[in-house]
Amino acid sequence: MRFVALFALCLFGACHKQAPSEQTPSSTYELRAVNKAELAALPKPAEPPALEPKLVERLRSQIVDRSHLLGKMRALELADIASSADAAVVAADALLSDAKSGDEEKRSAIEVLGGIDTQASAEALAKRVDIQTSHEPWIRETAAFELGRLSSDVVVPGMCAQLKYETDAQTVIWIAALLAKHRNYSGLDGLRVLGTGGRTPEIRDHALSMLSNLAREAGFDDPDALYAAWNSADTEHKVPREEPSPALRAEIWMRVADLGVFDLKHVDDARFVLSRSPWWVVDVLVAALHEEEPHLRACVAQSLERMGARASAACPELVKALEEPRTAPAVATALAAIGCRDCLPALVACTHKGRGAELRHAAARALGALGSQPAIDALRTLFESADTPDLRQTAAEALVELGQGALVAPLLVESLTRPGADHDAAETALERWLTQSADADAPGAKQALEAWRALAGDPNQTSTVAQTSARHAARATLLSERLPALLPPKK
Amino acid sequence: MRRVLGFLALVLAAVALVAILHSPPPKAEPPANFTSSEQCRSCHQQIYDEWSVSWHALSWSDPEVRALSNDFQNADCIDCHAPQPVFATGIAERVLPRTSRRGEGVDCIACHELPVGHSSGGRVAGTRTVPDAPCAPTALRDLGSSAFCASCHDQHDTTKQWRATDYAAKGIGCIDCHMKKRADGSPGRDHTMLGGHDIELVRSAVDFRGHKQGDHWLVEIENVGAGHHFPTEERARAADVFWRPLDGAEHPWKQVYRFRSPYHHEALPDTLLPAHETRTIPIPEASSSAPVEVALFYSLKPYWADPEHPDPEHEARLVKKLELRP
Repeated sequence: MRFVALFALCLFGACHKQAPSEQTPSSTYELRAVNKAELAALPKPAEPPALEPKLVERLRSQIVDRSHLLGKMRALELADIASSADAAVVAADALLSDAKSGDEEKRSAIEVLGGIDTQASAEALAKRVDIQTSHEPWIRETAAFELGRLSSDVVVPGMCAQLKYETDAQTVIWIAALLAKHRNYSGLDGLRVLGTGGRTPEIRDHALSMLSNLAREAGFDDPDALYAAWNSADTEHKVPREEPSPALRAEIWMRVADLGVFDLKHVDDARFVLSRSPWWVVDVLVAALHEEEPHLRACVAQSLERMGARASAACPELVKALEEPRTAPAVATALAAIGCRDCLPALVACTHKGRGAELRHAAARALGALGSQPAIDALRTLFESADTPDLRQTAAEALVELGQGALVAPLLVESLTRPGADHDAAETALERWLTQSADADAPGAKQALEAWRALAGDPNQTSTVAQTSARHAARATLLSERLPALLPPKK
Repeated sequence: MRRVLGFLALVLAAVALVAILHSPPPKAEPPANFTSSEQCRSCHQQIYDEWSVSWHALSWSDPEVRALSNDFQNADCIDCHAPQPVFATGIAERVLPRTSRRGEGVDCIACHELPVGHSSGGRVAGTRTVPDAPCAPTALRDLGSSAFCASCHDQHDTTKQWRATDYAAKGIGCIDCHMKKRADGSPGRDHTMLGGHDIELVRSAVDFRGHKQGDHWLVEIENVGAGHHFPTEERARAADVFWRPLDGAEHPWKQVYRFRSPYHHEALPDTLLPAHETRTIPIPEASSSAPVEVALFYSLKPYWADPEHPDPEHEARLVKKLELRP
């Protein structure tokens, strides 16, 4: 009888066995239409003033005539034209848009715009700095220089975006200067590149002298010190700060909205601008972390990630955002890039079974970037208990970052050829481990690294898919043979 | 009494055994979570084999892509080269990047997995609803729609270009050319998903003709077969017309024209050839009194090693070649 009961029980149990399902924590993280509300609250742009067409036409002629003048006369004429402000902006802009206008006429028009300190003239000049519509380098350079003389900060995001595309060195230098005027030092990167690698001595000298000027003006003796301060958390506010105008704040919220559009080019432009914006934009992005639109929310986290240490003020809010499942992987990545060390316990919890696979991978990578003993312990646990080879590989790569390569090298070697594995990531991690071992004079490591590098192929040629697979296989064979000698003896 | 109970127990056990032996084989359990395309392989070997050599499978590991994206340091490329499931991020919406199983690129899960709580109640999208199959696919028309491909491929305007064609008006979509039914008649469609890497498919896209016009030659390229611009995947792809004298001597190819959409910072016109359109390209240097050879080449990347002296035979792929004789 007992046998029958037991048999029936087993049968019942087998029929009702359920596969464990991945649990997603129920989120209490507040989401709302942040961006929509912010955009709705923006002040409506003022109606353009009604202008007398005859006045505009006369000013246009004056700008053309001025192009023939020199010295004081040229300056006096500029003052006269500029006194008509809005009409002069329209006249100069029309002249610049006219394909029949000569170069000197265009130069005169740009100078006129630079002599009128209004938002309209700044926007008209910014149009001429835009490489996507303004193809003559001298026009972009001159317009960027003149723009630097104006006080409107509304053009800052647009100029920042130009740094992504600009190919003319002098334009890059003047854009960097005008950004710095508004306490945005994202142009320093370009100046540093041009200072050492500019094509001509003139460009290199100009970039270096601009670097020195900007540093001095910001209260730093050394441009490198300004650069380091700009790229740090800057809790002591060493880098000068400027409150944004309402127009600039509005412009930034419009960039946040761009993070949600379909076209990745626009998304990346927005991310580029936001991640290179100063301190106050961190608050904007923290507010936007609560945005209900998931694409936008994820890109907000990516923007904070790309700010790096400058976004340190966002750490507490980012830790809270780990509770929102769809954004959490991007948030974990951001925490690591910013260097939020207080978030380690939260990240460790994200590697636990029951959290989403995407988050577990992202948290493992973040722990690998942040380091410390709790991170190593958590990654070792993950490496030993992960339920997929893919997650074990990610934990292994992170452990290599933390100097624990010997523990995970066999799995990484296997991952070089396992179908579906990220072979390139395994290869990168193994090369890093070999380099670490060689640097530490581990027995046989230098020879193994040399043999590994000998299999690299021609660095000047992109290998084919077949060549890459063959390289992975050859390196897997090499290390399989050498691992026993490279790994410490088992205790 | 004991004998009776023992007998009854034996009968019950025998009945249970017979019932087990005559019941259908136990249904394979669907995986608790979809974590790899490897999980699909046991039931869908043919499709897996097709996919595993496709450019979708190679979207993460292709050395060319890795070089162009600086080993994905340019993180924007990850969105489409290792995307989260399209059904989760939304049909025709932008995809989001994955952090897991990146080595599988655009994998089974990216296209077929349905998010928890999907309105269909299923977990996997297919072309047929098969409740008894281990993964219990649910038939969803979206899966075969061109809007489905748009999430990634419209980032380069390909879907937009297609919408403006007669093909779209006739209901001929992406899968009709790029995911054909198999030649052997087996059910389903070919998951190799051929595109620009397949030079025969590229050849079927255009007609290439040459004529004499006064004292020089000209060529005409007609987009007769691509359901989008030629070439598409703007910016990264290019097609070039070259010519050289045909007089028995060795002459380098001379470039006459380039079909391409430029990057933002390039002050170049967009010269992609829309579907159904013809472009006439004169070759003023080539006198129509002498024979010449003209050729159309296709490139997967837009730059020449030496822009002053492009070497199409080694850096691009020949689409069509013509000999024009007086």
